[in-house]
Amino acid sequence: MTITFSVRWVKYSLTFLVLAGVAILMLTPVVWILVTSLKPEAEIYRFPPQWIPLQFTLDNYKAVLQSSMPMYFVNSIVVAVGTIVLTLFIAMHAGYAVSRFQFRGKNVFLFLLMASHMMPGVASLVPTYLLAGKLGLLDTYAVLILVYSMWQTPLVVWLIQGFLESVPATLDQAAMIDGYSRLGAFYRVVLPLSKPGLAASAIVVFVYAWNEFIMALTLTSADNMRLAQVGLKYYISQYGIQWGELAAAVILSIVPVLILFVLLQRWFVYGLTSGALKG
Amino acid sequence: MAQIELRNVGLRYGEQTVLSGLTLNVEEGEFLTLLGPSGCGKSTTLNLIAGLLEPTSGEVLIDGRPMAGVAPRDRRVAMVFQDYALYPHMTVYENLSFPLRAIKLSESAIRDKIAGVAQALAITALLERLPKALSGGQRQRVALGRALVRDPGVFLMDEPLSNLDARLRVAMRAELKRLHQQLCTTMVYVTHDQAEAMTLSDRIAVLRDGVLQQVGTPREIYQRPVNQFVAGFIGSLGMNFLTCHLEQDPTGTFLRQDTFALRVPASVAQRLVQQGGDFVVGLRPEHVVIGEGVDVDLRANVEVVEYLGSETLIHLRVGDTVLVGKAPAETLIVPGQHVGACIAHASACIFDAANGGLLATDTDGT
Ligand SMILES: Nc1ncnc2c1ncn2[C@@H]1O[C@H](COP(=O)(O)OP(=O)(O)OP(=O)(O)O)[C@@H](O)[C@H]1O
Ligand SMILES: [Mg+2]
Repeated sequence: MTITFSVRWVKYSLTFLVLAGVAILMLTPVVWILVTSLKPEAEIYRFPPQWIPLQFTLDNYKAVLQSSMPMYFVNSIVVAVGTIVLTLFIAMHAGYAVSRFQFRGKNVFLFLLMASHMMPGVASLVPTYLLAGKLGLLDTYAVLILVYSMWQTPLVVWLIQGFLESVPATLDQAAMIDGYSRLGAFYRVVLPLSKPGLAASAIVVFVYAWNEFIMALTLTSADNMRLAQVGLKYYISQYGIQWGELAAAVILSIVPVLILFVLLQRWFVYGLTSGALKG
Repeated sequence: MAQIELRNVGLRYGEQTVLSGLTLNVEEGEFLTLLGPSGCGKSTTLNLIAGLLEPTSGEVLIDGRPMAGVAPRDRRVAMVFQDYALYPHMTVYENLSFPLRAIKLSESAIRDKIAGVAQALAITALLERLPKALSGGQRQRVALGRALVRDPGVFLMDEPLSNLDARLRVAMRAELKRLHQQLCTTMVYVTHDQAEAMTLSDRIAVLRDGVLQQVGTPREIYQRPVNQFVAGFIGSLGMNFLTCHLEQDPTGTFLRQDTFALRVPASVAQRLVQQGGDFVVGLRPEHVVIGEGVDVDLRANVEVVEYLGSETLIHLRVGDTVLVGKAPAETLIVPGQHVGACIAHASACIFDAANGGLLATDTDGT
C-alpha cells in the first residue's frame, strides 16, 4: 500500500518536473522578448541583463504601430484566412471521399499525399517563382494563398479524414434517405459533427501561413504586399538590429494566433457523436 | 404507396456472398416481414431497397421502374435504422423535422406533423432534448418517429421495436398496425419477435444465409413450413422434431420412434413408402397436449416442467429426443412422473430426414 503510493508519488513528481522543465524552456524566450519590448533602448544593452526593467516604456509599441507593420499584419491575416478557407474547403471534400468510398488506388493516393509533404519546400521555390511570374501573379494575395493551400492541403486531408471517419456512416445514409443528396448529408450532418477536426486544421493552417517566410519573401516584393514575417526581418538591417521595436512587433504578431485559439476553443468538444447509435 | 420487386438479386462483398438469387415481390400496401437468424441478410435487403447498396447482380424495381443508379432520396422510402442513426447534434424536434425540411414544408405544417407523431409515440416531453440525453427505448421511438413523420411510398423498418419493454412494445405494435391500416403504405419490416411478425404481417419472408426459404401468409408459414429450418424458426418455441422410421402393419402405416407413433393416412403413406429412408415428424408444442384422456397417443417420462403462468411446458423424454408439450397452468405434474400425451395428428408435418424438405402435412395428404 505505502509502497505503491510512494511509487505513484515519484512517478507524478517526475512527470511534473519534466513538464515544468519543458514549459520553462519554451516560455523563457517569449518572456525575454516581452521584457525587451518594454525596455527603452539604453536598458536593452545594459550588462548584466535585467529580468525586471528598471524603466517601463511603450515607445517600442508606438513606433511599431506608426510604421508599416500594421499593414503587414493585415496582409498576413488576409493571406492566412484565405489559406484556411481554400485549404479546408478542398481538404474536407477530399477527406470525405477518402473516409467514405472504397476506390482503386486509395492507399497509393494517401501515400502520395504524405510523400508530397516530405519534399523540402525550398526545392519548389524557383519553379514556383517562375510559374507565378509567367501567370502574372507575383505580388498578389492570390499567389500566396494558392501556394500555401497547396502546401497544406495534403496534411489537412490526413488530419480531417480521421475526424470524418469517427462519424458513423449510417448518419450519412439516414440523411440521404431523409431526402438529401450525398453532399447535403455531408454538409448538414457530417461536417457539424467534425467541428473539432475543422478547428484543429484551421489552427494548423493558420500557424503555418502566419509563420511562413521564404515563399512570402520570394513571391512578393512590393511594400504594400509584404507579410508580417517578412516585415519583421526589416528590423534586422545592415546598420544594426532595432531590438526594442523588433521585440514589440514579435509580441504583437503572437496576438492573432492567441485570438484564434480562443475563438475556436468551444469547437473542441469531445463526444459530439454520442447518442447517435444504439447502445 | 409503392410496389417493390426484387429480381434475382445477389450481393457480394469480395468473396463473401451475403445474398443470392433473391426474388421477392412486395405488393402495394402490403405489410411484409423479413424473418431470419442474425446475419442472414435482412438489413442488407432493406439497404438494397433503399438504394444505400447496389446489388452485385439482379435488379430492384419500385413501381416497375428499375432502380439502378437512382439515389436514395429519389426512391421515396423512409427507413428506421437498426442502430437508430439519430443526428446527435440536433434535438429530437430537429431530428424529426429534418426530413420535412428537405421537402421544404412550411414551419407550421412541420409543427403539426411532429406534434401528431410525437403524441402517438409518447415522446412529446422529449422534443427539446438531444439524443444523448435519451434512454435506448426513447431513442428508438425517435428513430421510428423520424420515419413516420414522412409520407413515403415505402416504410423500411429494421427491428423498430427491439429495445422497448414488453408492455410498450405491445402498445407500439398496435400503433403500427393501426397506422398501416389507416395509411396503407407498403411496409417492409424486420423483426426477431415472433409475435410481431405474426400479428403485423400480411406475408412473411424467411431468409437463411442470404437465401430465401419461403414467402407466405403467417398462417401458411406456421402450418406448412417448406422445410425444417422454417419450421424451427417460426413459432415462439420452435417445433419438436422426431426422427422416425416407417412401419407398416395390418392396422395401417406408422411413423415410429420408441414409444412415439404417428399414423399416416393412406395417400401419404404410399408416397413415403416409395421414397424410403428416414423421416422427421414435426410437432408444435401446442399440438402435444399432456394429460390423461380417452385418446392418449403416447406415454413418456417427464424431464422438466416450466411454469409460464398462462400454461405449463412439459419436456418429455421420447427415445433419444425431447418432446416439448403443453399442459394447463394448474397442472400438478412433476419431473419424473410418467404421463400420457395426446397428439393432434392433423397438425403434424412430415419432413425428409435427408434434406429437411416438407413432404406432407398430415391433414391434406399432398
Ligand atoms: N461491409 C460489409 N462487408 C462484409 N460483409 C458484410 C458487410 N456488411 C454486412 N456484411 C455481412 O453480411 C451479412 C448480412 O448482414 P445483415 O446486416 O444484412 O444481417 P441481418 O440479417 O440484418 O442480421 P441482424 O439480425 O444481426 O441484424 C452478415 O454476415 C455480415 O457479416
Ligand atoms: Mg440487421
